[in-house]
Amino acid sequence: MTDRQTHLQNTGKFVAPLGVLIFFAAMALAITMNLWTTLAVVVVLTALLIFGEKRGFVETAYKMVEKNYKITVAVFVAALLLFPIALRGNSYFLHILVIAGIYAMVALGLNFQIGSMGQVNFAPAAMFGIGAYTSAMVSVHYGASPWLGMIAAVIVTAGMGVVFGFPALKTRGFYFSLVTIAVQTIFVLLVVNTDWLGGPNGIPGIPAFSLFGRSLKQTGNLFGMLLPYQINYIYLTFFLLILLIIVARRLYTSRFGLAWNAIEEDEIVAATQGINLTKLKLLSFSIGSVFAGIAGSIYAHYTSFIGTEDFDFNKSLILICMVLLGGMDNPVGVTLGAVLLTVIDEKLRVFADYRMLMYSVILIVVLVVRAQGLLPKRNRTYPGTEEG
Amino acid sequence: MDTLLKTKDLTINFGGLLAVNKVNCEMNNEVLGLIGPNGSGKTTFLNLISGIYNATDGEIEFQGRNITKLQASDIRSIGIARTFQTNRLCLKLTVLDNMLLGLFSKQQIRWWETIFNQKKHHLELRVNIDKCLHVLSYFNEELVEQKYELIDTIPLIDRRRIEIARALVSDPALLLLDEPTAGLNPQETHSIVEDLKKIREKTGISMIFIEHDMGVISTIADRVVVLNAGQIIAEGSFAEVSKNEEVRSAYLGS
Amino acid sequence: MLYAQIINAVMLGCTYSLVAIGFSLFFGVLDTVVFCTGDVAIFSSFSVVLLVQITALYALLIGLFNPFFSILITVLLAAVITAALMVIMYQLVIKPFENKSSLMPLLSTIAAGIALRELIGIFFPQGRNPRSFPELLSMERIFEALPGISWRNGIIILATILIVALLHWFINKTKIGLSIQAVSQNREAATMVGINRNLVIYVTFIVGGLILGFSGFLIGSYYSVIRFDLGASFGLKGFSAAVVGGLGNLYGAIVGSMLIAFAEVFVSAYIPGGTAYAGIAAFVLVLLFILFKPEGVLGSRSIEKV
Ligand SMILES: Nc1ncnc2c1ncn2[C@@H]1O[C@H](COP(=O)(O)OP(=O)(O)O)[C@@H](O)[C@H]1O
Ligand SMILES: [Mg+2]
Repeated sequence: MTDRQTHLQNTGKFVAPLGVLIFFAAMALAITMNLWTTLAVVVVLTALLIFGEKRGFVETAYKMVEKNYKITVAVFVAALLLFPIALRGNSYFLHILVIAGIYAMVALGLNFQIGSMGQVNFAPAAMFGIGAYTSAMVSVHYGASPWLGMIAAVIVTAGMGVVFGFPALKTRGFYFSLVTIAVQTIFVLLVVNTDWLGGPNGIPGIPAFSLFGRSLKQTGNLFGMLLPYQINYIYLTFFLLILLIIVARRLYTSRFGLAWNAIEEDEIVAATQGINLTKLKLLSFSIGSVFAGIAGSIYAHYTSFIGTEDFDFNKSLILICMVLLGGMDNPVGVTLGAVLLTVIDEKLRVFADYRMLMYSVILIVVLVVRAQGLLPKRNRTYPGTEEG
Repeated sequence: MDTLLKTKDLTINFGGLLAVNKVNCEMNNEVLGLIGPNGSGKTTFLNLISGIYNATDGEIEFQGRNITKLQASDIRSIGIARTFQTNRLCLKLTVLDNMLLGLFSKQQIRWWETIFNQKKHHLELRVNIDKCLHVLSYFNEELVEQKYELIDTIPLIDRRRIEIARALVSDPALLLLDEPTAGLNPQETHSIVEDLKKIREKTGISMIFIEHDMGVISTIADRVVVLNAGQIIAEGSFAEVSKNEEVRSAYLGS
Repeated sequence: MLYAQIINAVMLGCTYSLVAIGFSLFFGVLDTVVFCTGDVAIFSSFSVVLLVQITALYALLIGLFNPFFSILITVLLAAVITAALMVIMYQLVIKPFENKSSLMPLLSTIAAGIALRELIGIFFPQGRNPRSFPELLSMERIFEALPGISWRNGIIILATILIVALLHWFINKTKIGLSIQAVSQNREAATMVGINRNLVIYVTFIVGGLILGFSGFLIGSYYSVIRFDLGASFGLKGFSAAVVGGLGNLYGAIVGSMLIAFAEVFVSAYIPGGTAYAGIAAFVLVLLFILFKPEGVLGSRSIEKV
């Protein structure tokens, strides 16, 4: 081991966990304070990232985390477990966290198309909705357990991913986008016009998940501290989210992630390397849909009411913004983007009229100023081969 | 000797332009030089074989199997690899990732295994990376050091080498080279041609070699086919072909 | 019944076709879908409302000229404003992304469309409420014997035909029009023979902007009530029509618009409960075309050069 690496390991042991804690403090600030504080946090974060990249700090930080992976993850998980407990006084803040986790899952799924393959899918909200509606219908109409609903959601979204994916994936570029717009629009119109699916009234009274015979809607009690029920959902959501991040990262470093990147750059070259374009695109579309389906199921059983306005074209755009802002093809970045935008979105409720304007401006600004997003994609390095 | 590749009346029609017109070509285990003036259909011929274009008419047979209708990805998997006239590497990927792409069709691992069976994933990756670096080092040792560099930062000569290496890494039986020396200076050209000759000696791989430089063709090609306006106008050894009147007039632009 | 439905469909097709032509024009020179096209058309409708109802310009004109000229001047003014907007759009959200990943102008023009519609919603007086469009064209029948053909409908159809004819002349008979065609067909070759691509793009955006400007007036007159977010659906329909007809082909855009309009009108008229599904009909048509005839009705199938 070289001097520099030992140095990274030693200092990283403290710096990396400290960074995690500072990150959580910033998040707490962003969630609990008003819109301007939230925006300030985002701006400071961005400035730090850009400055840090120029000076090479960001690379150092990544290395430090890699060298002290276990301890950093341990601190991160501990902080994540304690974070909601610290915020227990205000269930609205907790609610924001649940929603952030749910959107992060959908955004991660969307990233397989936009980030990895460079194809803009405008229907993530539809897939999210298909998951939510499936899960809700299974438990409301057939009285099945919400967990069964989630499994049904996974199966149905995977199937829908293939069904809708097929026409979408025979095409690319604008045609692909048009197909997904069509899917998104058809989904909303069909649901609104189908009484069986609640039509314009939505589906009320969706039961909550329960675990070990306890409903997740029950308030908890820890050493005399009253824990609002949202905390249960935070743990559930973030547990699943972390699993999905791991899945996304593994796919990214696999030959499939690489093939997606190749398709993004040059489909002809990809094909001549033996990559079956249709299969790979279908894979990206259906795995992404399953991510959205899982998220949709949690959403349905968390809010207990769903309607089409939760899954419309605007929602798809917001999800696209999350991927773009966070950093395309970087699962951690995408998650960060989703959390930040969800928080900002909630703060903007007071200014509901300006919401979509703000998203469109964010989208354009990100595209012009920093198209690679906050945490850009990193080149793959493979453990075991010494680094250059 | 067995026929490796055989085309029967191979034709493609681009809205009236017969870029490849009733080409009957047969090759065994050899290096076939493909020459002809600009726009004569050489690249289109490779595109047809490698499955990028679908033939309007005619057939392609590879190792006795009819491959006319196969997709580009399947063609690579059955052992035909190619390079492009304008260097086409993935600029946003690293040298190593570009090489790994060449191995895509040789990898066994399924997508669910990459998620649930990391052990298998790492094992396979290990083997593949070694293979990639081995092939790279054959062309230029330095490229092994630069494996994590983006293609953006690599000079043209090395990009040409990487592209050939990417094609070779999957151990194809037939390598299609579309002007691998275009844009290179004489020393660089020489170096690439020497490397290719050595590879031919070592592995016995067959090649179709499109080239403008007759000097190069004369040293590397066992046999030469001359295309003009989509049709074969001559074939045979370089010495024979270069004496052919029709070939001369096609090149001089009659 | 059938007669009335056919008239409906033709009218609807007219309102789509100018927007679809906009998509095709821009796509031709840029190889990019300019997604804010629909919103720009609706922006023009609001410009007319602004000129007529809010700034009293029309009242002033009508005191000076006869109604025909007053309307013409108002609409021309709205079209010029729209063309200027289109050029600004190009400058702000398309030009920065030239030679970059094609996903960027796609997203930026969608975002620009949303921004435009939200800005109307926020800054136009009562912007988020449906707005009645000034009834400048008479609803009376032209011929007593022919129901359904009011002056308004007749003028909309005639204006559409006139605009298309003018465009046809411009594209085929003027030097700059021919350059636009050359750039659409083969960008590299066009620059090689010395065509100034930048100029061509600006002219295309001005011409396209003018066409969208007129379409805003026609759309407003036909619907008589407009909403700030109408641009979203017009954009989608227009783009769909352009694809169905053959993206990049101006006459295909008209054919596509008519096909989509007929599909919508006939689904809602003849299928029980069909009104609800009329919107879906257009998209199903697009899906079918993309799957089975991606080059559209009039487009030609070309093999991508490698
Ligand atoms: N996809 C295509 N569409 C239309 N014409 C093409 C296409 N590909 C190649 N051509 C035409 O076919 C002819 C042969 O081209 P090519 O095979 O590239 O020639 P060469 O490689 O021998 O210089 C040229 O006239 C070229 O313009
Ligand atoms: Mg060539």
